[in-house]
Amino acid sequence: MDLIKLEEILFIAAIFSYLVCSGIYIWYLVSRNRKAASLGTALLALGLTAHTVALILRWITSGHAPMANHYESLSVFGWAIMLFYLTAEKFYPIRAAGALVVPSGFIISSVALVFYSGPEPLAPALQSIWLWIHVSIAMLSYGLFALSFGVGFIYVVQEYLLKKNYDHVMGAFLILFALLGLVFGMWAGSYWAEPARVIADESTGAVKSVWSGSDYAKMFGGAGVGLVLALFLGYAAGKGASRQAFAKRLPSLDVLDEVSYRGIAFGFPLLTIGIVTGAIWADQAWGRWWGWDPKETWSLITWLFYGAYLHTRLTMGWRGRHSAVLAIAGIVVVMFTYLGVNLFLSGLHSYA
Amino acid sequence: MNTEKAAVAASATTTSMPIGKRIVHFLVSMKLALTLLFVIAILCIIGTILPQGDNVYLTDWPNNPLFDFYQTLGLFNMYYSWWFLSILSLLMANMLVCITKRLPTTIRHVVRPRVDVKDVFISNQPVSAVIDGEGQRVMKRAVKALSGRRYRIRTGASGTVLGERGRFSGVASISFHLSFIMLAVGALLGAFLGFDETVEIPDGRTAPIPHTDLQVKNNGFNLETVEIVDKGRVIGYRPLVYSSDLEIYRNGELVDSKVIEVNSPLRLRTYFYDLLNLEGINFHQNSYYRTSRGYVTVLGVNQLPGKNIIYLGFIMMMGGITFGLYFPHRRIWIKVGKEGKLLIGGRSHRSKVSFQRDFDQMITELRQSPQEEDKS
Amino acid sequence: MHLAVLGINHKTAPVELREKVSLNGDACASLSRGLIGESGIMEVVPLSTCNRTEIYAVASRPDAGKREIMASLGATAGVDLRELESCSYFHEGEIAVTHLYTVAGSLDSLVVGEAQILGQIKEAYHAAHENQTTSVLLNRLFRHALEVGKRVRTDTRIGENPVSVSSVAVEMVRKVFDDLEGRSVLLLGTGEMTELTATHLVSNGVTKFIVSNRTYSRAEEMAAKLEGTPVAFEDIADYLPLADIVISSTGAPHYVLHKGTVKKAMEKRHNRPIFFIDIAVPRDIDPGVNDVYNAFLYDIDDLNEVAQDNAAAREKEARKAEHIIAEEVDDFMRWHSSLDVVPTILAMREKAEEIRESELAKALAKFDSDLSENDRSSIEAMAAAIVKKILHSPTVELKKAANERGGYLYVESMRRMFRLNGSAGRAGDTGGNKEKPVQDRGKDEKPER
Repeated sequence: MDLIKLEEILFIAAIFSYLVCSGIYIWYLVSRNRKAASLGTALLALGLTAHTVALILRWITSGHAPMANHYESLSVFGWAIMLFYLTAEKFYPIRAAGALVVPSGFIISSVALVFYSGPEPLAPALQSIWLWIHVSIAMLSYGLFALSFGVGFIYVVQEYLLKKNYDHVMGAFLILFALLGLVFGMWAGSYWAEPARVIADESTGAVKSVWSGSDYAKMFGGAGVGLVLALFLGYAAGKGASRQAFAKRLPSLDVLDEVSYRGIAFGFPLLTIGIVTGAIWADQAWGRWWGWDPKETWSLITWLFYGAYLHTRLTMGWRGRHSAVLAIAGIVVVMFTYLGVNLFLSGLHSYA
Repeated sequence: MNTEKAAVAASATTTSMPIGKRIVHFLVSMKLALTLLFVIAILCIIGTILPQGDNVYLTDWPNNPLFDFYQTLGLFNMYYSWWFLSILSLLMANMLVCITKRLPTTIRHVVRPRVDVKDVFISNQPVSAVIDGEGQRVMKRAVKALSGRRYRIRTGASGTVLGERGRFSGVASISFHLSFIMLAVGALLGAFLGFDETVEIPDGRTAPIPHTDLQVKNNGFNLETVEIVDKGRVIGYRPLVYSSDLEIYRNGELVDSKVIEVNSPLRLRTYFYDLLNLEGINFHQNSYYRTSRGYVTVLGVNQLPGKNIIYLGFIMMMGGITFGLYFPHRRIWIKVGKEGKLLIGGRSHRSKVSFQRDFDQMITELRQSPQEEDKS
Repeated sequence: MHLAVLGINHKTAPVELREKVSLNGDACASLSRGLIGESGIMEVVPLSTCNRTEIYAVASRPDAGKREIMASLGATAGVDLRELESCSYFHEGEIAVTHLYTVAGSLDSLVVGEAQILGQIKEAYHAAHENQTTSVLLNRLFRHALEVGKRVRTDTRIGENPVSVSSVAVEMVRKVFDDLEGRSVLLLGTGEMTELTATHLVSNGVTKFIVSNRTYSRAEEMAAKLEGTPVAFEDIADYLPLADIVISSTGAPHYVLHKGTVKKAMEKRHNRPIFFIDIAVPRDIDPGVNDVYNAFLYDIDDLNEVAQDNAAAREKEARKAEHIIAEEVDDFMRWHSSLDVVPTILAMREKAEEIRESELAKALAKFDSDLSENDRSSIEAMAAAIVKKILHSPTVELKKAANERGGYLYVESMRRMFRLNGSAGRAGDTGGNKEKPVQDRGKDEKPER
């Protein structure tokens, strides 16, 4: 059996099951059908298993941890989101939040598919035991932050519902969908773009994409279409959610607040360890543990952000919507650190 | 009820203080810390947008009429500018004060926790319950339930029992914050006592190492590459492995040698028990480039006294934050009240909902099965 | 054998009559014992709650039980027969089964979806069973009815949408606080609604109450009931920071709680959420309170809106429940019709004829053409006679048993022994000895009793 082919098939199967799961979780929120609930969880667990096996196969076929390019790290990111969501669902009654978190995990994983590439040899700088320690821990923390974001968003919606503030419910949905639509549309557009690839740095073998006008047109066109579609969807979702009956389907504020906090409380130490292992690795590779490289700086910004979140909560007694809004904003910082830096800023981490 | 009322009234406001006191108050406050975190984050963002260090000469900025002024301000060397470092120092100072303020309480929690408490203290805890039945007997089961939940049990002089978990959470948090001081100290030691240089050595040549009496010889640069194919076209070569065979000499005498790679540097130890890493010199294969006469190794050579302090800081940081957040401090007091009923109440520093759930579950257990437990 | 139900309920009879006809356990027992044996009545189960009194009975003659049951009920309750007749309903056969299942599914209740009725049916059945006034048919019917009631509760969400204002209030509170245990409640005013809501809160684990009223003595009274603390009305602002839930229903003509007061209280609470329930008209709490961070305010209109939503949702679930009930009635009727004597006898005969014909054909084939027409017909006659004689006494006995108490036992054993199909079905399965306790799920419902 061709393991590379098998890995690809398993990964696509996992993504397909995530897609179906997203549908089921949303359907559960609408219908509250108990069978849908258990079916969704079972299918998600199945998809996660397939995903896990795919990652292991990639590790075997490439000979290194599957975290060396965008496809691999996005795949791990999506995997972490699903893993932590399932874990949270086991301990807290937050299935309703799955209607947002599971689709997020699906989107991340499907974006990984856009970047799909076969197993590649590692660049010299990455040939280290620290690769999988550093990247996997960072990805796990991102997964937890994504969980906090999703649950935090549900918190905000639930709070506005309980305050009978339907305009804000609609606003929250529109903003969320606009963001998701923009990002997803941009990615979908870039999938059709065909930028020329040239060597950016001979010594590292880093490849740079040179974007032509038509490539940009495709990307922004995709973003535009995504935005419009998403706004329609967001309006429909906001309309559907603007009822007291919907508040009853969502978990209690207490639980949402705690899960969103715990995601960050577990993610922050992981992010800390991720940054520190990165520093140790950089010290080993280049003889300096901190160099204000854009990726390093942005991970510091992310870290400062969540550090501030924890301080507002633990020492200033913030809770509720303010914390939830921070958890939502956090994911924007995380996504910029993770993807934006590679797209817009150059630095040592631009390997893919 | 009166004590509760008093407790509410006790949380006095700070608005009536004189200006000077209020400034001092602000300097040691959490608000300042958060403001500084915010400011540093914003500055960091600016730093990633503006070209930093030598990179600025690759851009159009030097042609700007105000370039020299910007340079004086340190805009293009922001992270090392006096004002950025001052802000960092201010944050450190604020942190130190905050830690110092918290230290006595933290130490008391660990060394001399409050065990003997009044009835009303227990019933005023965030979670509390009263269990009917024979107090002493239920107490035994409650203690068993607590130790089953990995609580550390202490019994006070009055017979009050305190169960504790995550006792070192506060210490861990302090260790986490102190780790930044360690990093700062380590970085300062490195900056003032050490050096960090880039040395370029063509294949087969020898070059002196600045700040030292060492010479390094590049005995051979080795490179393995693989083709990069894009849309069926070879667009370049990706290095798979590159290494330099180095020999280090002092006054013509061979000191050490190694074939170094990116992740495998040569570490020169002057003496073995150099605990503070005061004199270790490291040779890193930072990069390479090609000239018409062959390859040139770009060597990073540094001596960073205080590196071990930094690594100790790393350990304190990782351990501190992990223990601090994963194992929150939880306390539960149990006491037989005046009417012979069992009073039980407690608090958790973090994760309050799951603490409450755990607590409720325990209370339900205690209320449910007295007979079964008595039999066994 | 005929199944029937005679009864009155909250839809057909005024409460005065229902009160009189309502029977306690002993009355039920003596009534059923009196009925058994009279004019062919073989099984009786009386069911009596505050909203209904129904007598389920099995009798040998159609309609025969009706007069006796009516008379007996009238006599026991001491009401005029004509009055009783005008307010009562009488269902037979399939309609009676549907009626019981509808009652068990709580679709016939005053508050659709309430949980108590299932327990009440269970009690009534167990009492009758102990009183030995039930046999095969009602045993199976009631056990099946309990299963149906349970299925309605698990397969639909009929019990999950509270429709009373006080339980809706608790439902919304639980959307803020995950767990009500250990929460403190501040009661402003001591009206009936306040007390009702407080009772709901107690059943959800709330133990700490602070009670305040303009008339201090009333606050003391209520506080004593709830084991809470009475406080003076002027001091409520001081106690506000201690309360997680505030229920207000004073008769004040103006706002009792203002936004500013709540804001100050929130500062002292360090922004821990607080839930205000304002059930007073005119309102007690400034609507602006809802804009305070982490303060949630529901007034009577908000709660009514949710209650109406819930009622609509219940209606929807009731349609689902009706489907389930129709299915289950079909099941039961299939089993029931299999127990009729006439079709059983017919089936028995049919089977015997089949055997006779096939064996005859086999035997005759062996003789080939050696037999004369005469021989052949005498062999055929012999076979027919054997079948007829063997079947004669079982047929007679079955017909006799049909009019006896427990006669279904004969029918069923006959069906089993002759392996006649059609005796099994879901209704038959559930009638076995496995008996699971029926759980009472919703706890915040108005009981039927």
